[in-house]
Amino acid sequence: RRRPPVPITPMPHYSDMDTPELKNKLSSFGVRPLPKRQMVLKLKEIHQYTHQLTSSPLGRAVSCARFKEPTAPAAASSPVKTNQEEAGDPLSASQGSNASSTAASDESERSNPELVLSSDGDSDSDVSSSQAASRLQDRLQAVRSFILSDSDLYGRILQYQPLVLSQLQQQLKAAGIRLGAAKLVDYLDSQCITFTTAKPGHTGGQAPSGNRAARHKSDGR
Amino acid sequence: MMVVEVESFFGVYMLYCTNPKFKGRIYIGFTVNPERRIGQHNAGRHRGGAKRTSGRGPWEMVLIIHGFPSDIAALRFEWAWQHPHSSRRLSHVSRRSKRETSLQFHWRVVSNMLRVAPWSRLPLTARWLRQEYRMDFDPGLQPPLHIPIAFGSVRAKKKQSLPSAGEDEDVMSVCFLCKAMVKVSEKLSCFLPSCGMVSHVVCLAKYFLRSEPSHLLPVEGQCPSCHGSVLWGSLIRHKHGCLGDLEEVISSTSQSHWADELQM
Repeated sequence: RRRPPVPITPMPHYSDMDTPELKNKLSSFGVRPLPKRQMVLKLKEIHQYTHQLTSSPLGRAVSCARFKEPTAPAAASSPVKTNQEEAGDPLSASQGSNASSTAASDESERSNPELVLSSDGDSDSDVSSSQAASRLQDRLQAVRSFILSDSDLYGRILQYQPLVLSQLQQQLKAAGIRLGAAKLVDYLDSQCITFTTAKPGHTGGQAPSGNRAARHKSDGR
Repeated sequence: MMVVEVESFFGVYMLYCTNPKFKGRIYIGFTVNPERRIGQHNAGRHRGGAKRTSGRGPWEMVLIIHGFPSDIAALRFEWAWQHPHSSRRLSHVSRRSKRETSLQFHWRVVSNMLRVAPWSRLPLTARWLRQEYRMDFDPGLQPPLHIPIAFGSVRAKKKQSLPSAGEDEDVMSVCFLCKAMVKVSEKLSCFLPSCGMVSHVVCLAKYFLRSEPSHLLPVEGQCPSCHGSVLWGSLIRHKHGCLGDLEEVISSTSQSHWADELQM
């Protein structure tokens, strides 16, 4: 049931481009040169339209970068909602974890580190919301107790070492604690505990387009 | 002015464009070396500067938030500051109003960020590198008490890798709190003058958290031995050999607030 991560290309900074560049980009969609301000708006509209979220048959948001025929987006007047992060609960995946490994690359093109791969949804839909809330509280308490009882893990948290989310999920599962990724992330955030979706030992997977991975000199290291 | 030197530096900064043609444009970025980074920005993209800032300067680095304990924490902060309307934790932050300059807007965003999870318990410092641009926090957007506002330059410094005397694995100490032996890897020491307090990281955390029982990460507390106030972040930095910017913090329970000490 795990979906492979889908990187969502961040929107280029159209407002920083010069006029000839904007003209070129628009002409690839068959749109004639416009006053600069309008070209920026049109390109943003086109980007949103071609990077919509659609629903999968399971009802979960899935991102797809589709290239539309040039006339269609140019004619589209109704703004399409861009959901680069999350539409609500289970989140579209992204290689947000790459943020650290590609830190040496162009900073402004880093993908959203807030995105989390949704592995299993919370399937408590048959239960009333007050029951679900109390069940959630129980599980959060269980997570808290788990952390406090594992002095290795707690020691690392106290020294601000980022937790590998997938490892923590495995440990919790092995301890019989059922908590979906989204709720776990909410809890870690509320406790100001840093986590990463990167797997240790990986140098990072797909880079979003526009990521200049070669620029090691630019900040960093 | 004295330059503060900091080891293990992770910062997120704000650049301001001083070229009137670019109308006060702002850029947010991440760095482990602010002095080098501003030079790269102003030198252009072929010398390590970002494409977005290249040829659009000159830029001044006016504000930097530092003290992030990892690059991952800093990068997430950077992203949220750059995209407040996409960040899950900043849905309460309204869009820039017409009467707000870009500088004011970005200051308002970061003021909000310091007050919410997942950043509000991190050992951060908000530092104005350029006094001329400095802004006050809105009355309703004061930062957490443990987050100092600093003024002046900061320099990233290499960590000294000398093991301090008595840090031998064989020399074990006793935890002040639970009285059991403390391995070096688990050891925390009070760095305040004349205090030799040693404890387990976990024991001292639990001690500090007595006043905040629902939390896992302490923010500050009083040394059980010398009773001086210390920030949790400072204790951890001390443990990791980052000694450059340790300072005693006057705790929120005592009469003066750090803001009272500011020279205006």
